Amino acid sequence: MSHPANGLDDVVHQRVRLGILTIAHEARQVEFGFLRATLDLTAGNLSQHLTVLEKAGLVEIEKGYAGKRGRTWIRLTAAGKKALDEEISQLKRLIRRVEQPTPPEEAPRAL
Amino acid sequence: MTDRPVPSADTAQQVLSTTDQLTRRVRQAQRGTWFPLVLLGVVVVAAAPFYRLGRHTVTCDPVLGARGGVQIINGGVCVQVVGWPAGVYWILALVLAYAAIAAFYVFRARSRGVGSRVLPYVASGIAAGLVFGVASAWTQQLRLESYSPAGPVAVGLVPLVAISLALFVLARVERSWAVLAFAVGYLAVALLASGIGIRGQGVGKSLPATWGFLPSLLLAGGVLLLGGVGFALAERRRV
Repeated sequence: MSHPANGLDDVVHQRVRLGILTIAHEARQVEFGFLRATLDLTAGNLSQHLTVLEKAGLVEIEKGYAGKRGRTWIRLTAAGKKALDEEISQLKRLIRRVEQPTPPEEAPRAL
Repeated sequence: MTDRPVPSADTAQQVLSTTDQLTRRVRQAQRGTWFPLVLLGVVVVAAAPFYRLGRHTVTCDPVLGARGGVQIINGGVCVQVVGWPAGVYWILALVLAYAAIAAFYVFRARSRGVGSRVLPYVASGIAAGLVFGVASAWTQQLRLESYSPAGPVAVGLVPLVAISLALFVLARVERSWAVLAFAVGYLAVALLASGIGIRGQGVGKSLPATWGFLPSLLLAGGVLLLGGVGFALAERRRV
């Protein structure tokens, strides 16, 4: 059985991107400004992370207008939901693995 | 395989804790329970004239029920109850109210920048409103008398229960234990008001027989309005 850390996806596991996916999962759709304020990021930094997630097919980005004001909405894709679920379950497995005594042959080797 | 460091259990715990915090913040931003409660409270109280419209004092006649309308005897006075004015009111008012609730949540999503899954609540509210509205308006024609409360106050008040059923869906949508607790409390009040009435327990005895339903409506509507005010204050405190 592989170590749970091997199941963590680098695209999803990064803290900010995991935060974006978590918020987008909870809300049906979320606006750029809400993400920026909630995650306490600059617009440029958030844009970079969103680009990574969009290229990986984990979120969809839709630009529109509310009156004269431009607004950007982010939605989680089915692949994004699957990736988030997988990440959360791997993290839980990792915690369980440490909390429960493991047989000697399965114990992770010290690096 | 990458050369990234393996996260420790502590780090994993911190990450999960952060995702939980983010989830809670989103849920707080999504909540707007006060609006449906206040609106539905107003809808309940505003139903009073329509109940009055369907109640007339008549000469006691054992075959009156067969000619259309339930006959109830209250304090020695015979009242003929026709269900359709209140039933039609409930159908129209609940459909419009839930449409307004949907519009409120859409507006709120746009202003706060975070969407919510309110459609199941709106759909269940309209469905329950239609079913209970039709059942209360045309009880006799649908042969539902044996399933419907028939006390001196309770005739036609079952739509009050429809509101509580949708509140359970709202509790699920908003993932709120407080809304669930309120839904349980309101269901008890609605069953009391629509099932056995409160006039028989001494409340509203001074009212004319044709207004006997009023304490039930005021009780149910009052609970919704007070609940709405309570949730509004709680939501304002969190912002």
